This record gives sequence, C-alpha cells and structure tokens, in this order.
Amino acid sequence: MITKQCYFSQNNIKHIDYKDVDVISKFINPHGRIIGRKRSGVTAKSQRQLATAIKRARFMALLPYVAN
Amino acid sequence: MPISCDNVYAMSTKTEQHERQEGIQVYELGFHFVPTLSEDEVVVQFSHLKSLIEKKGGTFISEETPLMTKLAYEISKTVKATKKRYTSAFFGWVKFSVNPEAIAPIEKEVKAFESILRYIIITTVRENTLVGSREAVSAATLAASKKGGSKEAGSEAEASVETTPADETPVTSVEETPIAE
Repeated sequence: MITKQCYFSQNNIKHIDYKDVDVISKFINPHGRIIGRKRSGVTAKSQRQLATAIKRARFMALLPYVAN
Repeated sequence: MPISCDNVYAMSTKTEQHERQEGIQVYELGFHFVPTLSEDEVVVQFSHLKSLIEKKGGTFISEETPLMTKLAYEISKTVKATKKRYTSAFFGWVKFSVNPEAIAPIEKEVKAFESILRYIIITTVRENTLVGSREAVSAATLAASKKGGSKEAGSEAEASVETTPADETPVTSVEETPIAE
C-alpha cells in the first residue's frame, strides 16, 4: 500500500498562503526554484496553489527570484 | 468526522451562498511600507490605509500590523524623479470583505499611497490560511484587538484545529470552504 505523501494533504492544509514563508520555502531548492511534483510528492491541486503562493511571495520579496 | 463538523460545513455553505448573493468577496491586501518611517508613523499610516478601505465599504476580517522585515531582493521606488533603493521594509497585511465593484477604486488609492513600497491584492477565503507562523500572527491580532476591539482574537488559533466543536466556535471565525467546485 502506498502511503500518502503530500505535505498539504497530511497536514490538512486547504489553502496555501503566500505569507507562510516557513511552509512554502520547503518547496524551493537552494537556487530558489520551485521543486517539481515528482520530487515533492505534492498533489496536483496543491502544487498549483503552491506555485501561485511562491510566485506571490517572490513578488512581495518574501522569497528570492534567484538565490545564490 | 463527527456530526458537529458537518454542521460547520453546512453553516459555511449558507454564509458563502449569502455572500455570493450579496456580491461580497474576501480580499487581502499585503503591503510593504518604506523602512524610513518611524514605528509611530507606521501605525498612523496603517490606520490611514484601513480607514481608506473602510470608507469604500470594506469590513475587516483579520490583519497583521506592519513589522520590519528583510527583503529577499532590493526594491526601488521612484518618488518625484528620485529613485530610492530599499533592502528592508515594514510588511503587513489586512484581510477584508467588500463588494467587488469597490476593489478597483481601493487599488487606485493604495497605488497612490506614498509610503507603500509594494503591494498585492488577492482574493482569498474568510478562514485563517496561515499555518507556519501562527503564533506570531495570533499575537499580532491579539495586540490589534486590544487596540481596535476586533472580534477574532481567538479565531486565528482556533481556525486550524480540525476537531473544534461547532458549538464552541464564534459566529464567523471557523468557516471551512466546501470542496465542491
């Protein structure tokens, strides 16, 4: 049996907030790029929300566009 | 899930339908104030910003008073032909519900706000969406409620607890969005 892996399903997070930098920064790599679904195991629905949240956080300079 | 949970769902659908009929949408305005303001000035500017929303018929749901944060990259703002660069700012947000027709004039005024370095207006849901930094937020809301007398002091902390009994919840605090789409 395959166990549930999606972080957001496991923690019952229905809405991903761009201000939640602690949560969404788990899903960016050291360069600041968004980690894909294959690696993160996030459901398609959550991944779409996550991508939006990360992009909003970048716009508001809470996360970097490019990190070195 | 116990029956009480179903009640919460039923309640939320009712209020949401009601809101849809009324044409009310929940928005959130996130913003950065320029770091050159003093702590007192920030409070003044924040209340000024809120009065602007209130004037257009907005009702506040929750907020976080601006706090000094380091920016992930440099942001520049041009005021009267002088370009200034900032690496830190006061970040705050306010969540409110308003008629969608009023959001464009609100944005226009926010855009003209001189102490705002950058802002974002998004549509969101009434319930609390913050997970990670909840303690900080609820503390901020508490502090705000002490000043402004807002109603959702406990809601921030309560909203995330999935087994909250329905009879204990305040009237508007916990509202799960039904998954039906």
